[in-house]
Amino acid sequence: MKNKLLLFSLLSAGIFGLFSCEQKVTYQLPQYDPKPAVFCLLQPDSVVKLYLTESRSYFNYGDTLNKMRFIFDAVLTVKDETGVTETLHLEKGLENDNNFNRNPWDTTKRPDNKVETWLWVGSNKTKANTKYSLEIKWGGKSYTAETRVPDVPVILNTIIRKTEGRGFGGGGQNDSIKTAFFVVQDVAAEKNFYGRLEIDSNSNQSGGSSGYFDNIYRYSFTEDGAENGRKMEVYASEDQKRGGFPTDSTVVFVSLMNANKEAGDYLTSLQHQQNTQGDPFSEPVLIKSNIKGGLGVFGGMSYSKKYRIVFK
Amino acid sequence: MKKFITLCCLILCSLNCLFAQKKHTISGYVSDIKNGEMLIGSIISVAKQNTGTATNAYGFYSITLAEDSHYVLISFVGYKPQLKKIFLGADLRLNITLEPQVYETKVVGITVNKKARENINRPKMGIIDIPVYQIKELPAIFGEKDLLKVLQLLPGVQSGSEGSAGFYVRGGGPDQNLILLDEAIIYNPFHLAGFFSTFNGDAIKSVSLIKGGFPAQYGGRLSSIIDISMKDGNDKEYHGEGGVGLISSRLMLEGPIQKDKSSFMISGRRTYLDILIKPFLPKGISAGYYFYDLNGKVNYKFSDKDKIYLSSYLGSDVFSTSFSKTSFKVDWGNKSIVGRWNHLFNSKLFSNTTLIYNDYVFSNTDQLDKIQIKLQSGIRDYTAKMDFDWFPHIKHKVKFGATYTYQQFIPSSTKLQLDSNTSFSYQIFRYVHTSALYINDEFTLNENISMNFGLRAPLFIYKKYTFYNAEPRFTFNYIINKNSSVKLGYAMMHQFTHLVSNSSISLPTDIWVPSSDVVLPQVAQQVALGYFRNFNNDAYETSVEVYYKNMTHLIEYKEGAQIFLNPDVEKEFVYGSGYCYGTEFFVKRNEGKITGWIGYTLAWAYRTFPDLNNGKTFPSKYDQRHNVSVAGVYKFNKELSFSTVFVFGSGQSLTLPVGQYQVPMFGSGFSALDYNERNSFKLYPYHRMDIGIKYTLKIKSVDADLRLDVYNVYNRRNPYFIYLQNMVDPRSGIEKPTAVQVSLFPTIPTFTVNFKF
Repeated sequence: MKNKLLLFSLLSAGIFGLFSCEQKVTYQLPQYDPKPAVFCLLQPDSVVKLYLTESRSYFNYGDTLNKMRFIFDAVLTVKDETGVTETLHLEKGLENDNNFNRNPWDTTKRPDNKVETWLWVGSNKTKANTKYSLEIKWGGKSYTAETRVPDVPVILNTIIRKTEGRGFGGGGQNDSIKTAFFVVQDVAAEKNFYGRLEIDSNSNQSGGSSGYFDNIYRYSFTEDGAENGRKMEVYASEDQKRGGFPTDSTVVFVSLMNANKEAGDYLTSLQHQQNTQGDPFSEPVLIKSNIKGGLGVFGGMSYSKKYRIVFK
Repeated sequence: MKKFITLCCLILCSLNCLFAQKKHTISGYVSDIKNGEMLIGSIISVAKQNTGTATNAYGFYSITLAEDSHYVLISFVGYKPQLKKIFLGADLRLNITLEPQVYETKVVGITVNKKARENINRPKMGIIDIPVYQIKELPAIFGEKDLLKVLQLLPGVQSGSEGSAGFYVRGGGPDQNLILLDEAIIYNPFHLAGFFSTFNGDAIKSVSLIKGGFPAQYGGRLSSIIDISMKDGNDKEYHGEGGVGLISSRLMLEGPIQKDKSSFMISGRRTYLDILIKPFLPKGISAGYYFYDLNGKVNYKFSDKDKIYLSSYLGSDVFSTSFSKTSFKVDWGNKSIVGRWNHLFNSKLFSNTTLIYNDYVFSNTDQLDKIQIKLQSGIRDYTAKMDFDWFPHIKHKVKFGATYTYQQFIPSSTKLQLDSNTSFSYQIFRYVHTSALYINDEFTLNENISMNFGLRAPLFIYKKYTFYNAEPRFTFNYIINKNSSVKLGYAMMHQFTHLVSNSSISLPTDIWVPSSDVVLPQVAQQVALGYFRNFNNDAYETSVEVYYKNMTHLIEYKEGAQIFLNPDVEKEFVYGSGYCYGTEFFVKRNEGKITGWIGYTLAWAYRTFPDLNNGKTFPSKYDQRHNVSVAGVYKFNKELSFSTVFVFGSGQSLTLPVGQYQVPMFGSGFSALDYNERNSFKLYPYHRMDIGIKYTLKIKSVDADLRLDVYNVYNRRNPYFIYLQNMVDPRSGIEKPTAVQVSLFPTIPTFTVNFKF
């Protein structure tokens, strides 16, 4: 996309330079009623944790700090498929902003920058393969959503392949790479999105316990698609000793994420929107949501155990 | 296929019955008396009988009449009609030459299109022929006469963005238009990101736009056919034509190779922006952009029965820049070679055999010291086709034929040269076979009713994927009286090649991909109803057409699709359907001091894609509610004329963010945007007026005309695109997003000198 834009820019530069002009014009911009924006990914054997913020008009706001506008005056209930209902309560929390606001290759140490957050939290632990529904009562309106907590992904084994050429025929001395894959037994009749989660080798983290901010947005998901219910290979890692990576480690720690349809659709479209924002020639990306009348996601995600992959 | 065979049998049986009557055939060619150019679409009408025929794409006609005396009127737009009295006692070969209509001060009485009433009498709808002289009369930006921009002035045709030659027909996408130059497909008919078309007006003989009621010989696109014929070349004497303009110059030469037997035409155009900017560039830096077009054609007449044509087109855009040890070059273009053989089996059966090679290539070469990377994409066609015109009876005009195309798609090709010894290359090829059989009968039932029945049977093969179907077409014409008729048309079309583009503008990086078991052929069905009426003794032609078009297997790109140099672009597609409907009003004045037309279109175009807009139906990008165009030429006298163009169109559709919210997982760094319904926001309407003044003079044997064209005469700042920018309100100090509109062309006067010798 960048190349395309560059090309167009170069070709049109002369014409734009000679003739184009900008004009501040007044358009009758659409009216907008704020909506609740939900962020909640249920995990097996964890309590419900939900962020609830308020969206605002894109065209008429005075707040330029882009801070989260938490909603405090709502009533949230979560009900499982057996009818057990609980009302969520508000808890104040601190999250490490530094942890999720930098690129994946950036390993420099920085001081923690804690951000105050407000979470709606439940008391009951959710179960895998169980359906949950959410109801939010706010501003005189009701917003609902449903999801099913996915099971921990079944990894049959991990394999390492050496890829010659990597797309360029002829293959040079430095043009091969070792790539590791998870061999996953996909769950039939269920939409799954698999993504790898790289874990710091010094961390004791063992997958699934790392909270919400696991940098999952950094990685693309593999949809089961045509492989639904079959064995499939999901990219796990590449040999980092190869050029282009900051570390020369031949050992990586990864776990596999399994997002259900609601979570996968939301996270994928969110990432697409981030990639295309600011490109005037690209079609805008609408973020998919399963919140009826609102925004965001009420989905499910699970993590495998931590795998140690050694490239020899 | 069964339907196809049955239809053929029915036609043959009905024709057999008709042969029993004693009749004779008049046949021949209609050409320009001065240069020998065959006149495509000349009307041959028989007085006192509400019947007639038209010349085909090679100027040939044939009409079978009862043994008797007949008055035959031969007419063609822009030429003096001829009325001939003939006694038909046997088959007759009658080659007719028409004289171009010259300006007369007493305008009343010019019978340019009179009596033929083709728009009323023939079962044709959604087809508009544009005389090339009319294209040359109208004002143009930078003085570049552009036939695609003139097409945008017709009802049902919507222009692309500001200044662009791109167009959309009846709610269809830009890749749904088939553009043929002497039967060769031109895949990228644009120069400079769509601001100019590749067609040099000096080399063009005729242009037809077909937007509905598709004859069966055409297929492969859903929305329109633009059929362009190059000039054959003057077979009587040598002539030249050219012009010097603001950004380009052009020259066309034509003449006989062997008088009345063989002729040539060669034409070239080149821009010179690259030469003009050279002196202003810093030392050590070179940069430039130019495009050129070369058209050539030769023909040889072996006998009255056999004639061959060889035509060729070569056009390219080149952009390059270099400094120090770095260089960057992009070039793209079309080339085509067409060989045709006309053979007359007898006075009733005419054939044309065509071989076509055409090639479109986009290439980008970057060099950094010794490292060079070259990226390419393109498409190459090899086509063989045979077309027959059979005139078995005055009531039947049958066209049938077969076509086969072997296509080679190169969606992506990369070559990396590290040094003189080390290189890597990577290419993707796709090979496709497309063929079709067709038959079409224009059938006159009686004085009031005529019909056009057609059937096309396309076959498409890509690897193990095979697709075939039948495409029925028909147009029914009921003549209410000599001045008015009602027509009803239906057509089904399939499309097997698809343009991959993520932009609203035409870019050379756009690539074509074939259908497959994943990317199914696109299908359209269109039904149209029209009322046609002429007024004031045919001085005015008017029409109202209502249409509805349904399309399936349409392709769009996934939200957030990555298509540039993506070897698996098919994975970035999503599939859906669409429908469009509308009404087109057209008023055309053919004669008098003022000639021209007014078109108005009221239209709707929608799309439904399960993966877009949350599955809800949304207005298409090409949804334009109102579209008005006015084109007029006023001739003061023989030397001086004034022309004008006015266009108005509802604003382009856009998807805007209406809300935003912070996503916790991205911390405070990312605001997610909440968009409204796709394409629900409209930019301000587009309108513009151009004017042109032409003064013609003769200097010795050279006819020259001096043109002053003014584009966008009242300096309307039309929206090219808008972007939203946060701006601080000086009174409140609050930062608010503001829409900033970018406009492209202000008032642009252009002076051009054209000459003809």
